[in-house]
Amino acid sequence: MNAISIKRNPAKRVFAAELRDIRKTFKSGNDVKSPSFALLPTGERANRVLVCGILMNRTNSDKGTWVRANVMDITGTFSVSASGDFQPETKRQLTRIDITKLTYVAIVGAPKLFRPSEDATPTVSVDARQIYTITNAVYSQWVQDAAQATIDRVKVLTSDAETEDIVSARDIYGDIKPVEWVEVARNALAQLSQIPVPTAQTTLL
Amino acid sequence: MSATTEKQTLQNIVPISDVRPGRAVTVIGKVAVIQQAVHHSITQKGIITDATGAVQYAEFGSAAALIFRIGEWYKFENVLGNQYLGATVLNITPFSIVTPLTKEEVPDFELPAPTPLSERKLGVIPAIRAKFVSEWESRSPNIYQIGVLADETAGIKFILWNDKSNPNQPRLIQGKVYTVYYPIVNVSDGHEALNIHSGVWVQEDTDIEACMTALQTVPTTTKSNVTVTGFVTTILPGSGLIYRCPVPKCGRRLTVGNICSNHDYQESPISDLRIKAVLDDGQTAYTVVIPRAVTEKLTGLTMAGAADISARDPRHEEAVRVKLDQMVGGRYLKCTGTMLGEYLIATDAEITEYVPDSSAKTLMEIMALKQSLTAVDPVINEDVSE
Repeated sequence: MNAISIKRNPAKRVFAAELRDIRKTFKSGNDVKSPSFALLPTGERANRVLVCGILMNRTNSDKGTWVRANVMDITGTFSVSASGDFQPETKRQLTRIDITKLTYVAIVGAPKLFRPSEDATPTVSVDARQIYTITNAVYSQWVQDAAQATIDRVKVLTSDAETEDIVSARDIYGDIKPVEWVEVARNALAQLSQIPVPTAQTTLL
Repeated sequence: MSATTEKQTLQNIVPISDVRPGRAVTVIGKVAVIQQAVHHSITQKGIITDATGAVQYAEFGSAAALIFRIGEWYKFENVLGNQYLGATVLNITPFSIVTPLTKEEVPDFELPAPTPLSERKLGVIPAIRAKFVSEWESRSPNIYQIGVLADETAGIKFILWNDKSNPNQPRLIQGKVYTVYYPIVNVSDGHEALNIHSGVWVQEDTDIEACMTALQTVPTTTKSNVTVTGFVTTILPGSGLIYRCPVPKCGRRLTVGNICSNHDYQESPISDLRIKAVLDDGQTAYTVVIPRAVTEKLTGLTMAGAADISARDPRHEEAVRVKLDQMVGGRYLKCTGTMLGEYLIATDAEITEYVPDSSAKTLMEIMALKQSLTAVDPVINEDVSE
């Protein structure tokens, strides 16, 4: 019997570097309520991700139905979007944040994959469900958290475990050595002490 | 109707047992049960049956709907098989055509034979023959009777929902054997339940050997002194200043207009302050309920303060939730309390502050992992290339 339980999925802690490399999304079943997942390169499925970073390059769509922005963490940047139709409150919050200051944000969202054409490189975007402005102390906490989560995933990936996700990840992300993700986590932690303190005067450009 | 068009329509008709998710079909069936549609986009729902099986249907958004009647036969053209909560269902869409059958068109039909309970699947079972072995106390006004039904092969929890339109709703009698038609198997709280419909049963004179071994009990897992540290991803609706039902032992949160779901309108509700939050540790998303005393200690926001915010802001109680969202949302939180099913009832909660040196352990793990990975790297590459 394939019992379906509607449970909130955990938000996986993922660095931008890993998030950008996602190349596969899938639905876990063919039920109306089956959740969709992105397959992380470190071999775990993620329905939600928790990502933190500095918000920048915000653009509104022509009709104002959605907002798109970039978020930069210690390892790279990625794009986030919020739709006014589905997440009006999140869109309002995203619009209100002052991007002329270095503002750290925490975003809980669903990673989505866009493939403009069949042979084009897909791009990853996080569909924001919740957005919070955070202090750089919380951001530092998240970096520690994400580093630990990343190496925990690598440990399972490089062990003898043969879960469906790991087999699939080895197939799709086979050309990325797992040790590279360990390096990403190490670099992120090494730069922790250099995290700038946001000030009102600092601008990005 | 010409011979050819009639043939074309007939070709698409499938028996109800052949309805599969993702396929548009035409079925001929009798409306066996009509259920109350609770969702605003569903105009009517129920169960249709033919000689081969039974399936739940739901009609979506046609304003000029044909209102189905129990026991009547209809032809459902271009209805869509779908899957809902693990069961196959039939969606009647705005593209579907439903026509009542004339008396001459109604096919032969007999009531279905009972299926052994051990062969149950999620969805509608045409019929079961089972003994009402034990009755539990109903803790909800919506549940008319709850207990265990068992046949020779298996036992299962059943729920008979309260039919508010019928003041003389018939009851099942404990110890008797019944043939129950069109019950629906679903999963709630991770346990299977058989949902039976009021009066759609026949009491049998025979007795059966009820199987008691396969019966699953329904324990609510309670674990005290659990500590969870995670990120507060959401402050849920129902956080902040709330109003509770004053009836002893009730204490439910009242909805807009001071309505308790059990006791209707309440003149003098009891106000309360709490946080319902999603605390996510990266592996599990816990729902944490932080009661008033712990909320006050955590945020410094008192009942009086919350009432003040509520009174000054046109959004009223929602403003309190937003305030709590600003204070607790997007922070790392450590909660200790009792785990009740999927809820953590907090007895203590504190925001965890950043400790700069705490990444030392992670760094050591990273070094060890890097070393072992660089050593075995060639082997991994070989695995990949195969």
